[in-house]
Amino acid sequence: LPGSSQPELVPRSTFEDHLEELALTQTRAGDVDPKLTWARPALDGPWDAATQDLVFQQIEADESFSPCPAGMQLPYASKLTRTPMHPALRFYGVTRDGHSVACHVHGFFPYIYIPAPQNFTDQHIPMLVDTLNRILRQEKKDVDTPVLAIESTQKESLMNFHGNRKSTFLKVTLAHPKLVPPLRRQFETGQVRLDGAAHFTFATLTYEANIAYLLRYMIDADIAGMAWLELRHATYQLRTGAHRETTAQIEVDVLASNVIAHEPVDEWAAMAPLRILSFDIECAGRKGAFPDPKIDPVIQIANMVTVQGETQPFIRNVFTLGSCAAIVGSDVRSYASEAELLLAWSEFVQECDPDIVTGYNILNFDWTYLLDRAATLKVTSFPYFGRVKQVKTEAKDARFQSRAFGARESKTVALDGRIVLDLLPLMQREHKLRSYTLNAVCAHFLGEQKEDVHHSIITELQNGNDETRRRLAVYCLKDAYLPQRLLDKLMCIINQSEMARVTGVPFNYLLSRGQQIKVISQLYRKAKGHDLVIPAFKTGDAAPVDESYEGATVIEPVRGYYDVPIATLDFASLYPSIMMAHNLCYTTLVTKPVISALKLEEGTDYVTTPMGDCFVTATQRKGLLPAILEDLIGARKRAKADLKKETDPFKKAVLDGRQLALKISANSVYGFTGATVGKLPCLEVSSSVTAFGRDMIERTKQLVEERYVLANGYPANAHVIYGDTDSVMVKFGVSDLAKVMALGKEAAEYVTKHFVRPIQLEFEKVYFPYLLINKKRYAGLYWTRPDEWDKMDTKGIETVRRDNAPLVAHVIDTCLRKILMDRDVEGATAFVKNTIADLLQNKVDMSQLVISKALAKTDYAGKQAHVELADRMRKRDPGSAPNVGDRVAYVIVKASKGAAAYEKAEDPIYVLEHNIPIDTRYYLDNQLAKPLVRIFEPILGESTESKLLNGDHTRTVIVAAPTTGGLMKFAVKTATCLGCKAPLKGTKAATGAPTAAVCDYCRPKLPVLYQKQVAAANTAEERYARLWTQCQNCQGSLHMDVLCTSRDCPIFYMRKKVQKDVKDATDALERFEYSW
Amino acid sequence: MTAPSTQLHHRADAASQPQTRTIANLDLTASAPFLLKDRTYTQQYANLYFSRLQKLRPHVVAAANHKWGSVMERGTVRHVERVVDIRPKSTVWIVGTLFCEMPLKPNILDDIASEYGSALPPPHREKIYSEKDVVMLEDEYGRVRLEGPLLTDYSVVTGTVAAVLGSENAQGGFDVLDLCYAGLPPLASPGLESDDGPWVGFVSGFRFGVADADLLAAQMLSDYVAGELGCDEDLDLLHRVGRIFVVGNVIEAEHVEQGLPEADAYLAQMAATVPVTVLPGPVDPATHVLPQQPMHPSLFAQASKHSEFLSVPNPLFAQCAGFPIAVTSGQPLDDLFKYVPGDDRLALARRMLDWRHIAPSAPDTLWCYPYVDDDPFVLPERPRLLVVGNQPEFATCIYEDLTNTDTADPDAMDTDDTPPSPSSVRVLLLPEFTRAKLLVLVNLATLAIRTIHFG
Repeated sequence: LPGSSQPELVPRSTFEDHLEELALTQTRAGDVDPKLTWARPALDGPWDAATQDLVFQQIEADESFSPCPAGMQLPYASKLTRTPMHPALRFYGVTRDGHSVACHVHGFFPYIYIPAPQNFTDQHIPMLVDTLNRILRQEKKDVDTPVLAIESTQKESLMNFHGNRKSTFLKVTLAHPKLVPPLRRQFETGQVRLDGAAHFTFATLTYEANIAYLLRYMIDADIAGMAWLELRHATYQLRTGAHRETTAQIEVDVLASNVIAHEPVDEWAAMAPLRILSFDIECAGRKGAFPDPKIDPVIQIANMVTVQGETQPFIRNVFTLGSCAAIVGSDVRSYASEAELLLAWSEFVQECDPDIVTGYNILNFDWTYLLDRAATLKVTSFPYFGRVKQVKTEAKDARFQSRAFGARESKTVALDGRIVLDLLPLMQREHKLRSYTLNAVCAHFLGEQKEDVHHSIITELQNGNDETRRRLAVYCLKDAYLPQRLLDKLMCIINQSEMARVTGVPFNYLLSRGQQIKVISQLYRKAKGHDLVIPAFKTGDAAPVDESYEGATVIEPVRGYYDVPIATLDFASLYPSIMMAHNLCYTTLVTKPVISALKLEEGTDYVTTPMGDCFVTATQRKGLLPAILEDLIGARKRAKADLKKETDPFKKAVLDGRQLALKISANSVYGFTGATVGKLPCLEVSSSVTAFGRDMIERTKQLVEERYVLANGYPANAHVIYGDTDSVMVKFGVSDLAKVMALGKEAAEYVTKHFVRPIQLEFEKVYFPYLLINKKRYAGLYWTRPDEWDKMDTKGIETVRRDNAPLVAHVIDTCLRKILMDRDVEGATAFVKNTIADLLQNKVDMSQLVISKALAKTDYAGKQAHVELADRMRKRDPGSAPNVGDRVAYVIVKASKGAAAYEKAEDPIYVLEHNIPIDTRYYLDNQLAKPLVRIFEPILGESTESKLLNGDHTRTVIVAAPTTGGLMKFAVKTATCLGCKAPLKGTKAATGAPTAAVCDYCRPKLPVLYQKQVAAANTAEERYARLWTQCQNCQGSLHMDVLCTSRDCPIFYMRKKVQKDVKDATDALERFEYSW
Repeated sequence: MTAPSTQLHHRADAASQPQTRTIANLDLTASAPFLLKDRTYTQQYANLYFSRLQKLRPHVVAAANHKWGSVMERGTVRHVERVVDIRPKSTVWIVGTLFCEMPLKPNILDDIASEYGSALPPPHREKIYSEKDVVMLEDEYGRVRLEGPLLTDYSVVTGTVAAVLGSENAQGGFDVLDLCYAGLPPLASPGLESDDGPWVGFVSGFRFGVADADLLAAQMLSDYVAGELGCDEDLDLLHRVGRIFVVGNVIEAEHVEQGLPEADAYLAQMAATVPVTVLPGPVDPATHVLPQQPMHPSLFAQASKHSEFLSVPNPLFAQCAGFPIAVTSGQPLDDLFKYVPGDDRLALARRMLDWRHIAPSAPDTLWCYPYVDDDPFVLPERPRLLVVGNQPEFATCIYEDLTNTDTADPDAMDTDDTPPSPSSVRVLLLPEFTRAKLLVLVNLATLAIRTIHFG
């Protein structure tokens, strides 16, 4: 369903008009003609590195190899003389004026730490250098001097408390990032030894040996993702002519030590005018097959280019195969051959030089398809989209594994120097929706339906003429524009940028990597300042893998329907505050032998957690994780305070994005310590956190129930009816909302005093009334002020699960509204009964009954309903059958007794066309029953099922008479009287002969029956008219038939069904002609 | 504008002096497409728009050539065949279907959202125009956004076919300088220029069945038509009334059980003295989507016994005593009324004649049958009379063809002072009888008009 409440006056403009509007506002803004200018604004004149400071926002970076630029003095230069190429980094970015920059950073070398063996002194270093050089030369033969330096330094391991004593670590600097893993392996396998006069064996654990070269540099140079960099004049060199490697407008070389990074605050919180390209392709598939790049041509590519921060695209164009009629407000470029089209598009992308490339499902589809297609057509100069010349763009298989999101197989396409932001995976990660088709996502976030043209029709349109291709182009442009609008609406760029800035990782990491890298980045940054070094555990090394720990438990709910206010007390940022309060960290974890060796006192020097682990207190050593958390939470407080003061909408958005990123980051620290397959798990920390949490919930219950009693002068005895993770629900036994709020506030303050700072119990809201169904399942009206409720809040109640029919969510939602908002339990039960009656009498709209499942692959082992159905549909019509990757929509239909469940799924359209009876019982028993009983049981008690699901309202059952299949071939359909349903003798509907409307007995009632039939026909006719004119309006054309097949649209099935309903109704009306 | 109501008094001698009445014959050939047989609903509405454009385009082109001929001769303006061929910086005219995009237009998606509980039901609106309306011109090949102050002057309505003259502006919109509709077809056969032409009567909105249906006034009307009321002059006139049209809203469908027998008895009584033709209207117990099918004669068991009782569709195109007439029960005008500010219904009715179309907002906001290869609502010929039933107030004017005479001042045509020419059209807005108690008599030859008030 479209967004709940839309402002009345927002025009439902069709897309073409919108294109025009874009053109309109643009010219008024004084921009240049979009048809003419693709390229970035030109530089004012030649760039002068000697006098001009270069300031740019870096958006992306990669590792490279480079010769030393003439006149630049690299560190360790003497060791590099025989190796012409050295590791370097490339930062790409944009200046405030919108000029693109590529910056080669030289002179930063990778390194790792190893603990120095006992008695190892600086005089042993040359021997170790020789040994390591010998070993590493075999690993990488083209590097003449692998070890550039070994220095001894005083550091501490991040793991465990050792009495604040530093020890000697050896920092081994290497000439090449590829030397790090072999070196680490040599140590881990114990193969590094010094023999002879000085005899040393080395520890097998290395430190900081598992961090990428790029991130290593960004950490050391304090460069966060999306941060502004500054190169002062005369500290860098401009690249010109043949030395240029990239397509950037300004390409420079600089020494690592001369890069100045700005912390993203004040003026440096701004965003550069980044260029965002959003595109969509159409290909002409064959009937019954998903488009194959080896066979099917790319026929159109539509593009929208927007400058970040501006609301509308300034380039709007579409590249078409074959001629195409003009589209107002857009630049149509037609090509006779596909190769020309592809090549032109490639040149377009290079010329408009986007910083961010976005679209919907572009990684797995559009990019991959384009690259494969160009390869098939041998358009060899096509695949160059990055900023580095001569680097071919390729699609690679990627496997994305994350505890939070599960495993996904996908393609990745890297465009050097540009961010590739595919909205589909981003949506899947950040929003829980019923469906992730572009239609569904647009309906949800933009509140509008999108025309959906089936791919079998696309080929027809392509094979038509100028005008049909134009139609397709309008559609394609729309699909290119929608991702851009979603980006804007959801503030994706800003929110992701702030996340990059807060956690320090490059923007692309946020899209392609999991949660851990963000914590690792912060941990390294923090550890650096405390001379801590981080051990490089082998993944899964740190702890026995199967050691599981207890998660957050809950106070057993006292189920029921509460018609009194229930106060909810919440621990603010529970897990982060526990870690801060109890100083839980890698660095404070202390073992029993250390406790006794250092003679630490329990309570003052260290505490024992409920799990039995010991952590030193802040008097001994302040933990690193608590320090990170304090920074994050402090920064969030500042951001929220600034947000309140800020009036500029754009700056507001940045601040809001930042506070959100800070919150997410703070919460992910706990998860990081508990990730057993992670880089640095520490179950002592994570299990202690949850144990503290459980204790605190219990303790809160105890404190509240002891204090708020009649005996202490309170109006009633308080009861904690439920507690979960970080909140406790209290029934104070008082019915006055304002009083409950006062008590809640007081109780929160009172309980907070019993906990260590900064743990804070907050009173946030009152639920009234409150329906507690089970653990993690409840609903209530949410009040923060005594005079007016804020919203209806539900947890864990069936609303978005996609294997449920929409009817379920609708019924449950309506019931909860009636129960909670209207306090009308009777109304709710009446509604349920009506709905069940409607369902059994076949009156519920089909779209409410459609279930959908993605067709992942066709070789499922077990027979699954949607897979079987897809097969059947393919046999009927290969053109319209769902393909792998599509969602299969189906309804459950009646089948013969004993039919397997998978045989009962049927295509909703087929069901409508053939009048196939729906298995309404299935919907009642398997879909509605359980959730209904769940919410009504606390109210109606034991008899819920009999009252609600059985009874008079379930007696009348109307089943559609199928027009196809089985016995119907042999059945003779006899017309029945429209009055009493008695069969009319001597009439056979099948013969097509006119049939009387009523039997002789009903003849006197003819006028009345006629009126009834007229009314039915009027309803159907009006519905037909309204539904089809709506589709006509949505597609934005009056003179062309509606092609849209968007199954996500709420009227898709209705408009199909109404065609049949109206025909039936008017046919019945015509029967009266023969009865008068 | 209105003729003074005739003073009524009972005639005792009415029955004793039988006179012959001239019957106005009714030829329904032109309404044939309104009688639906073998309805199908697998088609969509695009066909209807397509047919409308095909049908009206040549006429609009002719009208535009006439109107803008002089500027075209000077070479400053040219005709462009397709919307997509408009190029910036040249003044052109194009023909297409107008479409108003209106944020307040009822949207079924909103209704469904409220049906399923997620939104408030959309309010019912008297008017749907707003400042955010956008007008588009569309042909088979594309659409262009129209701009310019002229649009408001023209009270532009969805579904009309027009030629617009102007140029593409820098923003890709089309600045309209002038606009031209098809106008009426030329006169097929000249009307009689004599005083003894046939008279016909029009009444609408009896609403039998509702409590405030004025049965007494209705009875007076029937008696009057029968010649049992009024003076001798009246009688002379009444003998020349060849047909009474009951233009919709005869019976309240909600009270059909009471209303139907009342209506039947009443119409039977009237049909005994004068031919009666009944159209269904928006409240009648009939199909509601246009064209409304004739109410079944069997519903009127008594009245149907009279051979001169006729149930016809709404709208109705017919030849009455050889004069073409167009009659609707009011829905098209009521729907158009939502599109424009102000409440000049007569002006809108005149517009129908400019457009050569009596229901342009069908199917967009006025529900109608999805015709496949025809648009029957296009006026087939120049009518002598356009009657719109069930309007709030009585109003009438003489319409002269404006589209082809660009010097004419539209307001000058409003009065009866101008003697009607053979090609004039009488436009008649008929009030509901329950409200105004009015019978309107029109002389089809001279377009003279008499109103008789009962009550």
